[in-house]
Amino acid sequence: MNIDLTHKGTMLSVLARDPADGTLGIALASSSIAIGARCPHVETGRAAVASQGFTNLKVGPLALDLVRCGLTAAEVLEALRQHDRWLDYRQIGILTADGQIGAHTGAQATGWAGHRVGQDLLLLGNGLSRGEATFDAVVTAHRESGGLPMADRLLRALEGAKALLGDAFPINSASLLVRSPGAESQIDLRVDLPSSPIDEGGSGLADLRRLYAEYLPLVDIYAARSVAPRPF
Amino acid sequence: MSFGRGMTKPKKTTSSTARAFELFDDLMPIRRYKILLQTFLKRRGTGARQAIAEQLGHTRSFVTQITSPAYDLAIPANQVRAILKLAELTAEEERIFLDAYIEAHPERAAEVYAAPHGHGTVTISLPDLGDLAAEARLEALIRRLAESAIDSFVEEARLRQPGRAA
Repeated sequence: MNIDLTHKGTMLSVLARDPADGTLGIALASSSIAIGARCPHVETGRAAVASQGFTNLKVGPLALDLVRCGLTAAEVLEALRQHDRWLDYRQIGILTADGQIGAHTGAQATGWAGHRVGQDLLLLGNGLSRGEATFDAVVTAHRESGGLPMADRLLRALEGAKALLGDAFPINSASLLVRSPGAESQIDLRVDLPSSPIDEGGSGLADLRRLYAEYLPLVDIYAARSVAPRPF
Repeated sequence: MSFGRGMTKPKKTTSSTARAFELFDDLMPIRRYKILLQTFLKRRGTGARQAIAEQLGHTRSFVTQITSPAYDLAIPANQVRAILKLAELTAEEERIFLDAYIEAHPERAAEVYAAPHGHGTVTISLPDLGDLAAEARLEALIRRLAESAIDSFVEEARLRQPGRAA
């Protein structure tokens, strides 16, 4: 079987934490399809992990497992650094519920690749044609949306990058995960392929925005149904 | 804000010098508890491995092999408790490690948990109730409860051994 391992693309992840209630969120957009199936990992009240760039499918679950075992974000990265022989190709971001941040961008990651660590915010990207300016756009969009729900802010952060990069960031898939301790219903949405092809103006991120808008009013309904299917 | 890599020209990969094994193979359960132990040993600072080697009468190389995820060698069950004691793990670290160890080697649970190394002792301070008879009854009750719990866990561990039916 011939598999093209050189397939290159564009990828951006935004991880955030709300220190007030321990909410963790992660939003991703990618030129690859079905990114939500491979890269984002969140355990409520523990950590959010982004594993991308020649993704090792087992890194995310292992990182969450090690956080669960009490390792710090730095110790988890160190464990992975020592024992994943291909870590040079990978990007890994960890944001724990208590605010620790660990990030790794391997030297072999595709194109321009890097990460930025902020207060309760972590960005990771590869294949970004505008490099650091992309992160600037993400941080600005995130900051200017202060006061909105985390899910909305994460989407706006990705949209800030898309507005800057335009056609240089074709988004075939996108994912949005937000988990709050104690919440009955969580945001867990993904678009695996745009509703129309990219060259016909399709965008996985625009589809995710539409999905979020449709889903948001239902969050409380699903939470209420979970507790009791009908009034009593 | 802090920044990571951010470059267009990739540097030379270090994978050619990376360890020649795959982390996520069938031995992952063993590597997992070794990753945890290795991290906990690092927290203790340098010299932890040397102390273990000296106290157990092994070479430092042997200790490295049984405590490093890079080697397949499992930690012998009869040395687990001694290593944990020498490594001065916290109670929480010890619990996490033992859970991982037993998950990797369920057949060794009885040996690990029942090993009479002389340090499996729990001390509980009893209050001054101002009533000698009541204090005696309380002590007797705690003793019975503790002995019952120990019997239960030892039996559970014994049943987990291969060839034992539940």
